[in-house]
Amino acid sequence: MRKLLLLLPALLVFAAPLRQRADGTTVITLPAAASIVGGAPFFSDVRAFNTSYTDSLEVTATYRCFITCPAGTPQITFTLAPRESRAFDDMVASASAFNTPNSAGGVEFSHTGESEQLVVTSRLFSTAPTPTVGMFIPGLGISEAYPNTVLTSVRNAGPDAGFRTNAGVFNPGDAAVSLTFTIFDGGVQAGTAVSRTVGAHSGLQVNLIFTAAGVPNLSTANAVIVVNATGPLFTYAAVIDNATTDPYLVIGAEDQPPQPVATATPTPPGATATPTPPGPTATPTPPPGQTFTVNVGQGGNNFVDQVSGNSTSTIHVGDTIHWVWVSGFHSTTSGPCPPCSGDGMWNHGPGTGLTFDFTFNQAGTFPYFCSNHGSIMTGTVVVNP
Amino acid sequence: MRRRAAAIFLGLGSAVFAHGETIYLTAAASVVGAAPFYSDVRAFNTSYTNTLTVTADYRCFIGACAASVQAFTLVPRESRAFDDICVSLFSSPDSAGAVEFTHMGTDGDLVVSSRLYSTSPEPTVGMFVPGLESYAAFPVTILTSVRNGGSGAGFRTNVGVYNFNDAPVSPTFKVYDGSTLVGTTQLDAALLPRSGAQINDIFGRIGAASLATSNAAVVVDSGGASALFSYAAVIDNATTDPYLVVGAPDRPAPAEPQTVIVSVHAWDFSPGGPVSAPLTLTVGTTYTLVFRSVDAPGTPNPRHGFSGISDLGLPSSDDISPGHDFVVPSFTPQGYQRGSYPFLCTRNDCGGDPEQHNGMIGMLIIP
Repeated sequence: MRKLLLLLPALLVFAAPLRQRADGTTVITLPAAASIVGGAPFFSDVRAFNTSYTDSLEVTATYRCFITCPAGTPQITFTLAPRESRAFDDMVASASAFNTPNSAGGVEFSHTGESEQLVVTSRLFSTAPTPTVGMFIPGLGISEAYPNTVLTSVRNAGPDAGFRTNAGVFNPGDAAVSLTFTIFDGGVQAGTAVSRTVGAHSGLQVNLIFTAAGVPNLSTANAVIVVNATGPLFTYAAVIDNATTDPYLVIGAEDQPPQPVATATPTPPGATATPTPPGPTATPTPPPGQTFTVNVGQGGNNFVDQVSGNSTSTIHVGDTIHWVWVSGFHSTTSGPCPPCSGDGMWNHGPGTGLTFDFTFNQAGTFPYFCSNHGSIMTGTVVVNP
Repeated sequence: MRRRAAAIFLGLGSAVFAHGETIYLTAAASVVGAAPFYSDVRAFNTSYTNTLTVTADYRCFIGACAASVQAFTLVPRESRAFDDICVSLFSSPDSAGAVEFTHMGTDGDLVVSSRLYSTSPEPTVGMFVPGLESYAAFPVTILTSVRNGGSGAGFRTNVGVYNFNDAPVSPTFKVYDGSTLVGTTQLDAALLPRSGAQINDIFGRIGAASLATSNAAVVVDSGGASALFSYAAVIDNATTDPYLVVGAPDRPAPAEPQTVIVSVHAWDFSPGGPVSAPLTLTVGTTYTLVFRSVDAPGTPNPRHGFSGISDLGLPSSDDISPGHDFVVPSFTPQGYQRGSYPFLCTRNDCGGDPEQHNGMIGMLIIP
């Protein structure tokens, strides 16, 4: 008992999430920031606050761009006076900050002050509808990154225009990390696991994660995304009401390492009970298929299938279309155009220098368009059984 | 490691040893009318092997409150949905409050999350409200990214607190625009144990309703060692879209100015030295330094001096004599000034013994 009492003061010091690295540098990571214009505009207003009443704080902010990125790694250094809150409106594009419009990524704020001397917060918001709808994105300490995380309160489709979910990660480490996103709905795995590799001090976002997992039409208000990785990651889900464009951000909570479930789980009591998931080992093998390339922006505002030579791609169920942005600022957005509003099946960009893959698991004819150019830039994917 | 530490920390504030781990949802609501808000809550069992029995205790503090404690069981890896939880689980329409989810499993077995949303405009606009472990509560918290007024219909901000302790707390709310204090307010009554409160339109509450700012901050100070959860709901008045800022740990405000009397006599500064302990001043605390001659009656030449300390901006004086204090009205040591600073008596004849006087060297320490 006495030992416990003696330990208490020391433990209290560590009760808050640890933020400081071994070299004395503290890094606060904003896992998502953006400045995107076009059909779905998003911007990040960031605030940096020095909690000290006495000491100034020199902060280095490094933009870790991973969507439509120019060469180089934008970086700024600024000094916060004691108790100063510094505003960085549209931080990604602002000339006084990163000056990198039409891009998105994470931001790492580093300093050598005391471990909790810097507080970083942000709002990532859309101006469609006007004036704004947005979501809070906190700055996170390194102890809040985990190899296994779970994202709850995830939605897809549903009544009215429904919801969509984009899932993202940021890797604060010095080595690349492999990861999988696995969706569960009602305790059962939905679709296939989505595998990615994320570089050191970089991130990635899988837009329309349900589409990427092959279940674009799944209607759920109680989905869970499990992210299993080979190293600690910050993870998040941006869940967006399609009608109002209003997003909310779910930050990944620490999950337990994946384990196979050996036996059937008993039915839980209560009428609303949900069956036990089979666990991540139950991921089915994706169907075999071929990949076909469509160049985006080839010869102007065009989608050009590299087999047909025009804007129509003809493939079979299980095949993948691989879009490659060769010039211009474009998106590939599923749905007829007009009305050019998107049907939520897939949407990538707008941007430059991108690639995007989408696997078609059902037969049909799927029109798509560029959200920046509308009806003058359309394409069609014909999927045969 | 974090989980273990957090569990012990929790034990200081709440009944952890009796109830196991508790996850706190600091804001949940089911309110109808012109500004309708509802909470869809999800509870997830991270264990692959163990069923979790959870007790949900609705700590209602707004509207038609009725005590409600409900228990439910989560099988391994189950996510349970509680749409409009105040009504569906607690049968308390037109109310708002916090929810404490307690279980006897291992720390980290339970993840709670929620979306608090409005159906005006349709279909919905909302914000993420996370379930928090006790280590996310602090005696002093800072809420940044706070807004009021501004372009369009502007923004408004509601600030809330939840007291998970077993004793009442009377927190203070200080609102800053940039670094400038705009106003201070308190709750109308003490915050009862395991209860919460929300100050709607905090800028109106402090008399600054017309202030337009997109870079405000709110400091929530429990006034003692009691840790509190704090949040700010910042709402775009035009779209009704809210976002929730969760309070980050902040530091206590510096103490009120302290007066330190340095008694000067032959041959010592007390405190300071060489006989007495050094004069030790704390970074961030504001001091009034009073140098006062206290020589016994009949002491030869009872007039002393202070060399000042140029590195600290402290002035000098050669007249510290009975009935004539030397006062430095305000001095606040800064972090970069940490160190030891010697000072001297500027007169060489005080006390009538020049050899003794030569050793009258004091020391100011800023640790």
